[in-house]
Amino acid sequence: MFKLAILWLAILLLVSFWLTVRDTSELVTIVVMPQAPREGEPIIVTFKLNNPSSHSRLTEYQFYANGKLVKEGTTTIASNSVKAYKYAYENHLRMGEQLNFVVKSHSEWGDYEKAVSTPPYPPQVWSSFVSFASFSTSVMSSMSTMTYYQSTFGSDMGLNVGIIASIVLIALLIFLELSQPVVEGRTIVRLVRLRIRFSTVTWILFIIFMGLVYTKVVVILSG
Amino acid sequence: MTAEVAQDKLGEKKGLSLWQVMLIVTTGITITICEWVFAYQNVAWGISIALGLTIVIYLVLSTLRLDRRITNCGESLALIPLYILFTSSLPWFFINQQYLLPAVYSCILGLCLWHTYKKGLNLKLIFGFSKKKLLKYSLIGLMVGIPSGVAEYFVLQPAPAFPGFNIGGFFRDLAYMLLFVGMAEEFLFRGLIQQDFTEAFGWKWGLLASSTLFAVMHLTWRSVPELGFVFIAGLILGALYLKTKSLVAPIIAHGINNVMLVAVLPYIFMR
Repeated sequence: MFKLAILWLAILLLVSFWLTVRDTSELVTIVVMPQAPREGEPIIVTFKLNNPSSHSRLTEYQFYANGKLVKEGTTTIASNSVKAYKYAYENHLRMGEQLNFVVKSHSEWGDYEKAVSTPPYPPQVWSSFVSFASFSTSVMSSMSTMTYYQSTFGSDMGLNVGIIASIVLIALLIFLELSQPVVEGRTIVRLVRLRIRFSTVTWILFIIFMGLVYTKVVVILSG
Repeated sequence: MTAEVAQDKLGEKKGLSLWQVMLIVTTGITITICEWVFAYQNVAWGISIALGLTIVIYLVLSTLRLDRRITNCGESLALIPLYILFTSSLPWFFINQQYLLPAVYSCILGLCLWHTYKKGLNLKLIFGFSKKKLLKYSLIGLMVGIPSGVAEYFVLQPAPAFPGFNIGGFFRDLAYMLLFVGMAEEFLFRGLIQQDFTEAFGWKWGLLASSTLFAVMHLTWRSVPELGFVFIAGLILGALYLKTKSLVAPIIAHGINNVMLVAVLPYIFMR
């Protein structure tokens, strides 16, 4: 029953990822940074025009911020590629207010429209009573961003948690491997207990390590 | 307070030696420092301390001869740095924000379930589900969750998620808050930590320890009123668990509190 429940939770995690990937195959995507902006902090809006087809495509686009047209143009997008545009929005957002960004595109495939609001979810959803630890407001707005992840796990300066986690993972794997023949056929209670407990940490570090590798691969592939 | 008095108050009645009690207290203090560093100083250092703390806790629990109750407390405390490690070290930015909450809390639920499975604990006993009392406990949870949600709303005054009340958003939040947030946090803090501390030190210390840790994990909010609110809420939820011996009422109260906070009240008091 436990294993089944854990399996279902793992499936749920993967489904979230799949749904996200499915979303990014859309013709237009918008990313707003920071996702939970502070008062006066500029908002960087990146919208991407995707062309998943095998031939280049002429696309017209319009970008609206709170209903006001702020950018428009026509561009040719090569096959299976993406064109990204960045826009810095001067933020006069006050507590309780929300901004809406809309991108409209027109091509031979028809009209397409994508809208996004910021904050997408009130910051408090992630903070207050609702959640804790890393998912609190002050940290959360940056926690789910690539900048946070890269600066913490792929930093050239300061403490690189990615390297520390990898070293600890290697050390634990060596320990588990070397202690295996020692405990076989014998009852060294302390060592057995240590192996069981460390195997949990090893699994978690392995998942973190896979996340690091996956991110690196995506970064390399995306150039 | 002399060592003897401390020993008497915390553990002697239950046959625990002072150094073992101090071991648990030290672990709790280190978790607080870890969370403080994470929230106020440097995220990378916070995560590194969490990793180091987990290794040390497991090393100590495995190599020293400890009372079973202290071992249980140590193991449930180790879930907190593991949790910090898990949630702060995965590339969550790959997941769309609207799916982030169930994704993250699936990891926490998975971690708690794994802990329960490995220790051979009885899940039915921890959750205390009973068809007969389900309605009664749900109503209790509802009656606690609504006023506490109102109180927290006035502490935080969150902005509404959508320009206007959205029924789809409401039901999504309701499902997220009850099935993921409420369930995972109550499972961890009340079902595992409070339970183990109560067994080791008695119900008063169990309630105090779980509520304090619950508040400590909200340090990232950087708000003293919110910290105070969370501590009191932890006491109430813990008391509900003690009284009903079931997680139904705390989960419902926690979930409804959050729904009131983010999906109902911001639209009523919208400026």
